[in-house]
Amino acid sequence: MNVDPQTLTVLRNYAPQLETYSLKWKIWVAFLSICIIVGVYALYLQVVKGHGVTGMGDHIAWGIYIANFIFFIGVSYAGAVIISIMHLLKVRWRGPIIRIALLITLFSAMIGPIYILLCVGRLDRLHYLFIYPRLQSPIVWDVLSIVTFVVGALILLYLTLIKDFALYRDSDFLKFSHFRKWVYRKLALGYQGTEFQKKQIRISMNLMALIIVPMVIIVSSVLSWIFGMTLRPGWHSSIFGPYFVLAAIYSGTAVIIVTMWIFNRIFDLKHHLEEKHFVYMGYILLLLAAAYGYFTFSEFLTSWYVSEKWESEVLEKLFNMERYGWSFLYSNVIGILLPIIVIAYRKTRTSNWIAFVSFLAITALWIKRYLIIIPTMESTLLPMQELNPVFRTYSPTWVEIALIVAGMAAFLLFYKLAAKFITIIPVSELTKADLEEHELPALSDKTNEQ
Amino acid sequence: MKTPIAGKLNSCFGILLSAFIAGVALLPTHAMCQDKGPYRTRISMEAEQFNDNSVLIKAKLTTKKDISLEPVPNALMTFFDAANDEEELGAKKTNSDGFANFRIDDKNKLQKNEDGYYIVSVVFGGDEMHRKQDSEVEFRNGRIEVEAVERDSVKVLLIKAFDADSMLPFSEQSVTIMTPRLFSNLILAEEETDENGEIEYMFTSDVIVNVGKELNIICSMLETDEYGTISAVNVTDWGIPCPVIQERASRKLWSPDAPLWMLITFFILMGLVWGHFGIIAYKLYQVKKSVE
Repeated sequence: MNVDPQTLTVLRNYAPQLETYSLKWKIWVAFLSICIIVGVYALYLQVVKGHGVTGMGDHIAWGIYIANFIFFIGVSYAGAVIISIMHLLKVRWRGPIIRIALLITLFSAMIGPIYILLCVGRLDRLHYLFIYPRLQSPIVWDVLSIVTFVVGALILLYLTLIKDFALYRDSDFLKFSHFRKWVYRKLALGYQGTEFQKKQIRISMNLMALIIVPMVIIVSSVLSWIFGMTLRPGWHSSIFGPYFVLAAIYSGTAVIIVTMWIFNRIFDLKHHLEEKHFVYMGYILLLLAAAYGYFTFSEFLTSWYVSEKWESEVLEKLFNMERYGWSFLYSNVIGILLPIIVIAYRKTRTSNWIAFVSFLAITALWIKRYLIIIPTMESTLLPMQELNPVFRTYSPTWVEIALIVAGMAAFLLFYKLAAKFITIIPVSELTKADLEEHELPALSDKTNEQ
Repeated sequence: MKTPIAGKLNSCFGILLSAFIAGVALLPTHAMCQDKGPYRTRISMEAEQFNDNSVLIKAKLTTKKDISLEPVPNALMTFFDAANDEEELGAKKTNSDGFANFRIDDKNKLQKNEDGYYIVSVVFGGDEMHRKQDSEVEFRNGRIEVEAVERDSVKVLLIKAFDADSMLPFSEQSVTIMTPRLFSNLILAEEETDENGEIEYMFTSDVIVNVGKELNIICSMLETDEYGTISAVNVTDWGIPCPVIQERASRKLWSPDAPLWMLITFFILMGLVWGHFGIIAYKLYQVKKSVE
């Protein structure tokens, strides 16, 4: 395959990241693996002893597993939709963000549904969902939509990787094992950069980008309807559909920004992930924060104004500083107002500040997911017979926390392993203008010979 | 200096105090002994005679803990023919409700006492927690005969109740007409015998049965003083078959089948998305093939 020499230069610069395993990397992998092992042990306890080892019970049947599930799924939808929209609008500066966003999409979509399995009491009956599906159930819709989305995310990511696989296949200076080269060769599908092949991949990308946007809207809405189509106070709201779509894209954007910042530091990608990328993503974050804030305000104002008995019970818990008041304040002030203020103000519109408020927004949005689930579960329509306060409220146990940490560790681990398998920057997607703009070092003689 | 009276008072006080301490010390021991058992038991018995000459002896074993009577499960109860030198008839263990139901297939094998009573006794041998107990039930030989006839398309039950030994009828006695249902017997009527011990009951009830038309009718004199319970079972074909209409529920949100619009929407959406995936897979296949 004929490759632009400057592209090869970029690849050569990032080759060590693919080839070598530093001590720091190994330590990180070991640490993340330990977190996962602790989570596996916690899972073992949960399976053997039952859900009694968690904080869930008869009245509060959903806890942080579901909050984490919604969070991860929401994050995964954002990456796909952002990249798809950028692709359709041919946003010029999207190149360096593509892979980061799509890897987040895929890994989140893989990890999120695991938390549903953790919540299910009888895993031996899980296959009934596929053998005896009830099409009227939002849960069946969610299962099917998530499966469809994972497949779509995989295809989308793969389409962006084919050219890079071909590059790795043909770059002899990369010190890979025979097996690894064989894997790249297979995954490259014999791509040679011919006009026909480029056209097929271009059409495929356009098709995927076209279908992903409505798919994300539908799957986010389906996820929200698991809650919205119940009669529980705080959930039964027609605004939940668009609310979840927006919250998903908002949290996903924040995760992308934070990931960009981290990789910028680890892999020294400042030539590719420039300040402008952070600023542009910051603008998107600001818009989403504003829209999300509007939806939040609308939802709570409506519930508060009608003073309906059950809704008021939930709101009372959310506004009560001794219950969830502080969490509510944090999720709305830090999660909504702070990003808007920081990004709107020119002096704080920098990569560091934007990454910082994005991180805070991520935590705020996770807390918001928690506040969607737990206060409502504690506000039963029929009075709880249980007098013991332990069973009237929810408090996660170490088992649940260990599994949450294990999920996040698994996400980071997948990312670290992926960053060893493929370059974080889609080298083959960098245009000549990008390369000239970045003023990369001159080619070595070795590269010239190639 | 102690006076004699003070000394005596001291002695009395000492004796009383010692007795009090001993009593207090012993009280928990006594209470603990009581908590440990063995508890006193009680047996209540009933006899039910059937028109096939069998007798069902029901013996209930209970014990009293605190203030309530509790059944004693899994206790071995031995039944004897008390009128025949306590000949052992058999044994049965009580169920979870404390009942030991012992069936004697032919009551004619039992001896009667000089007054013409059958006497069946039961003995519970006791165990660590429960004291030994025994009881007996006596009953005379009674019988009910039931005949189901149809006269001019009218279903009639001809019931006759009488003493099987003397053949004297049971006049002005209440007979309950029932049919067995899932958990207990359904009472259809309560009639009184005439001076000849007979009842002519017009069976007008519509009783739905599970299988075919077979309807069991039970006629009983319940808990009489001298005869216990006397029952007769007659199998008739007067039951009304249960109409099993296999009607499939229409397609609705809360029915087994989803509404049609939902099915169509679902397949269109999934078809669109997976169709795209299929096209892309084909395009990738073309990419691969173009090299070959």
